[in-house]
Amino acid sequence: MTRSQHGLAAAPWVFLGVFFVAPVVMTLAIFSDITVLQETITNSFFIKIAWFSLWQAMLSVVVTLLIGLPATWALSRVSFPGSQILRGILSAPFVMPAVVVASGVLAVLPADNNTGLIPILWAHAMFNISVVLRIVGPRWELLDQRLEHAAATLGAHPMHTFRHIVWPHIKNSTMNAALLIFIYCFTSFGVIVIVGGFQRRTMEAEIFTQAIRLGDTSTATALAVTQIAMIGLVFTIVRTRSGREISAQHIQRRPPLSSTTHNRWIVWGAIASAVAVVGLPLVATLWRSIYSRSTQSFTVSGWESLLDARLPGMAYSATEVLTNSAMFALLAALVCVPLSLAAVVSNNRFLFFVSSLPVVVSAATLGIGLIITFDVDPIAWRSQWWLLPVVHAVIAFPLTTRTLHPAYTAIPTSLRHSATVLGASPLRTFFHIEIPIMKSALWRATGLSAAVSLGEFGATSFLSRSGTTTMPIAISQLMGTVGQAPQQAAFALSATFIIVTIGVMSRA
Amino acid sequence: MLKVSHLSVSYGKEKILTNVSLTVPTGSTTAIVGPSGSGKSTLLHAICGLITIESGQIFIDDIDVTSTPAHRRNIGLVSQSGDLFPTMTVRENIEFGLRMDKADADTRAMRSDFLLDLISLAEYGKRMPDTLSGGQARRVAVARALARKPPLLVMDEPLTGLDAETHDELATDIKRLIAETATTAIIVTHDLDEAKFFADVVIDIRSLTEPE
Amino acid sequence: MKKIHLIAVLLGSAIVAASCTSSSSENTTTEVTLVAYDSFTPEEGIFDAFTEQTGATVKVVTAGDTGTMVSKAILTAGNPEGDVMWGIDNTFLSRAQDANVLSSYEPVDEGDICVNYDKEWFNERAIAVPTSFEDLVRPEYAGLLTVQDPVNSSPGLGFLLGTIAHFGDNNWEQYWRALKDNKVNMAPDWSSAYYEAFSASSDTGKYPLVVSYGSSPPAEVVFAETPITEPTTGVIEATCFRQTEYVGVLRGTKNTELAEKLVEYLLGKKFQESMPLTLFVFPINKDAILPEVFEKFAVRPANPLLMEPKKIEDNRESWLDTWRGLFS
Repeated sequence: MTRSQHGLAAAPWVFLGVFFVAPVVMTLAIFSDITVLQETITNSFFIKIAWFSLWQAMLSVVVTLLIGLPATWALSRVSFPGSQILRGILSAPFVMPAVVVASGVLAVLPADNNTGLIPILWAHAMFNISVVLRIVGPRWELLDQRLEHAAATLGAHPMHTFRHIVWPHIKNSTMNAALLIFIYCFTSFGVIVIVGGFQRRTMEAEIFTQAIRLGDTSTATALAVTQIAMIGLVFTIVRTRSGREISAQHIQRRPPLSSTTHNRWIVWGAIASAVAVVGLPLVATLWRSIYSRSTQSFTVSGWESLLDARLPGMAYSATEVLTNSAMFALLAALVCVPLSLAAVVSNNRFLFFVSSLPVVVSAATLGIGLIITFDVDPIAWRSQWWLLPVVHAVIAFPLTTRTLHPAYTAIPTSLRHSATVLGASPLRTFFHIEIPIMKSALWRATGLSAAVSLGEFGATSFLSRSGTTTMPIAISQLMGTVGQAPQQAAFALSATFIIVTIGVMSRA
Repeated sequence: MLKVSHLSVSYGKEKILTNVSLTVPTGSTTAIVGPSGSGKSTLLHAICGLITIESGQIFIDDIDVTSTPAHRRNIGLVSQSGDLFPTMTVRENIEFGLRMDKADADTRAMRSDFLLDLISLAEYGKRMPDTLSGGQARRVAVARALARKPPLLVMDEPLTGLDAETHDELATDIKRLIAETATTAIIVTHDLDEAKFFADVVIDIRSLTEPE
Repeated sequence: MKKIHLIAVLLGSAIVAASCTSSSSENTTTEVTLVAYDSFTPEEGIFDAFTEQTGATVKVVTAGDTGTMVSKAILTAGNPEGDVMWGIDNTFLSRAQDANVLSSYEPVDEGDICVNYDKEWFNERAIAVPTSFEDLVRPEYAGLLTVQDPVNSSPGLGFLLGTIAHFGDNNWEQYWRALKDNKVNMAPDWSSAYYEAFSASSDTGKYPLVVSYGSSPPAEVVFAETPITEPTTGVIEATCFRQTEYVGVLRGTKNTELAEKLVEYLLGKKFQESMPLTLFVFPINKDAILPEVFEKFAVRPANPLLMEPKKIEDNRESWLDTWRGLFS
């Protein structure tokens, strides 16, 4: 198996090497300048931005955990009718483009007071509650309820039970979730641009300002390098502090709500607060799609325009945009999932490390790299339509490998051995035994990569398009056009996205 | 000591216990037997306050504890298997209840030393639960349940899943522990021989349901 | 197992399809590529006449907003993504010239960045509409104006340049201090200024004055949900800063001849007349006839504020630094 495992690593190596490492190295090689770096990290304006990026990300993590953990507890420890739909609603924003989430937050807050710190935290919490749900939830489900029972009969108040029994059990996965949320919020771009107001800017937003508005690629690169270093530092600190994971307890049936001693009001309170945070902006978007703020009356013109041959003021129809987005999401998943699987099976630590880098590298660095690398034959691919889903696959790669890895390592070796003894070749063992066991993880990975593709905004904005406009781009273009019709169309398009996502996520 | 009157419990629409009444005299050991799925564990959980009951009342020493939360009932519980806190050492497991009662370190140490001796695991205080054998882990679980000197000890199939030798050894040990600590006990089991070995009174759970 | 086969087949076919499209598009010379900003939405079928004349089809490639498009063009100067570039404006032109992006260029359209006002708001209160930059800092107009961050927004930059052109290099800073004291609202971008803060677009918007375009009033009429005959907004002419967009041949194109023909076509009467209602800009070609709604409601000031592209490029960074100093 070892030799074929090494062979398997080749495909993801080539993929990441060509579409990630090469462009990033190109950018760094051409635009890194030590004096610019020195000037940048000593410039008080940039220091202020770095400091803001850091503390707003930390605050976002705290807010998300405060809202997300109780909801995760309710959804993973108690079963009740409708929990699937609620799970769907809470998970949905994760796959939504920043422009949909952020404009939902804009729509729910009063118009002249909807930028700044509160909307940023709100949008970040909305996005990331599902990260808590997805990372901490499965772990929490594994906690043997008898441990909690034992603690209770030994006189532990529920608070003490949480501190002494539950927290040690979920600590590591909570830290993992917190780290991921931190990285997302630290490098936040779309949300910041839309609801940040002009003074609340992250490094990622400033990287785009420097590279695009001011044309200063060297400063942008210096900021990108600083950003990587800061994330690396936080990553190292958190990782060295979290210990080994205690072995999983066996899975059990969740007790129905009516039969536990949990106060039902606490359960409902935990869920209601999370649903309010996530749901209000979504409902506000649906509301805005049928209510015009300027004429202060109801209208279905936005929905009608989705059926027109062209969206108001645009060169494309809603159907085209939806088809493009769906197709790119599918292609991104088709590229990403098999390659991630190969990377996971190859069990190559260095490959694993490289595959996690797209999370920390600024989208602008990658975007610039793509257009300066793929500009000569035979690799003049920069305006090829397929580069878009390929880049989406690169950006989704860290998420999918991390989804598949635990599922793969959880397969007991004895199973492989028995298959081998029964005469199965390693390949047959892989396809007949391992793939079916990993089925649910493979679906999750597929969903994640499709989600990244649907929402990606940063690196793709560097790629030129010809008739391949995607949802987030269409929505922001509609919002940036004068006139009520494009506005209504933008909200109707967002609303469509929301309805479809919730439908899909409550089944996933 | 313990009086359960007209207790009913259901999971969703499924009725688990209907109109069950039971009295356990102080100082006795009562065994409740019945096939799996007959609601034996549910009865114990209801007595401990771990689940919400639909109707009925529970009295301990003539005090109505029906609405007292589990952590204030002071009932020792020993579950089927594997409910030692995996993040704590054996000693920390045993002392957990005393910590919740805010007992000082000396008191806790004295009590756990005594109990570790009693279960013949004096050298095992610093071990983690996952390094113990099945029989050892059960003994620790019993010691942990007895640490706060609960007036009532309930045990849910404490001997299932052990090999014959360990089973017999542990049965003798548990019987001795109950006697030495003079605790009122309820033991739930599907094994009639086991029930007879432990208990003064053996009750079939199906006989507890009173006709309406 | 079957699923994996399917994936492999789909992947393979996707790659084949991709390579097919790439080779077919590169071997043909009967296609000319026009690189434009995202909001370039020409009339449907407008290039049919060009294809009839030359036999070549026009492929429109959108490359992000103007800033992104120019930045990318600079990074790929000499080895461009297309043949012709549409829409570099006077705030970016000089930067593109410095990087030698275009081998030739000409102005193709123009428009103005002006303060717009909510007609109803001023009518209802019987307050006179301000008519100049100076008015905007008077106490009766305190807290009424919303503008955009000039660092990240093109209209925001246009407004800043307008004030510099009007007050001069030495006095604009003082004017902005006065604006700040008069409680000017700073929005991050055009959409949030126009759709969230501007009272004419939103029932909860509080600002009856907003920086937008001279062509915004006719756009309000064209893109109204329910037909209206009169825009609800007006333009303060004295605040208008001229924005000129250019079209040029990208240096390094292998299609120079066709590219030049396309530029000529874009400057021709037919295309120029289609621009007002699709791109909301004024034609540069004097022969082009304006549509009625434009003639009626779009403002084209006789003496707009102007600034040389070179002066903009030379000073932009220091002006923005100064501005950032004032506002952060």
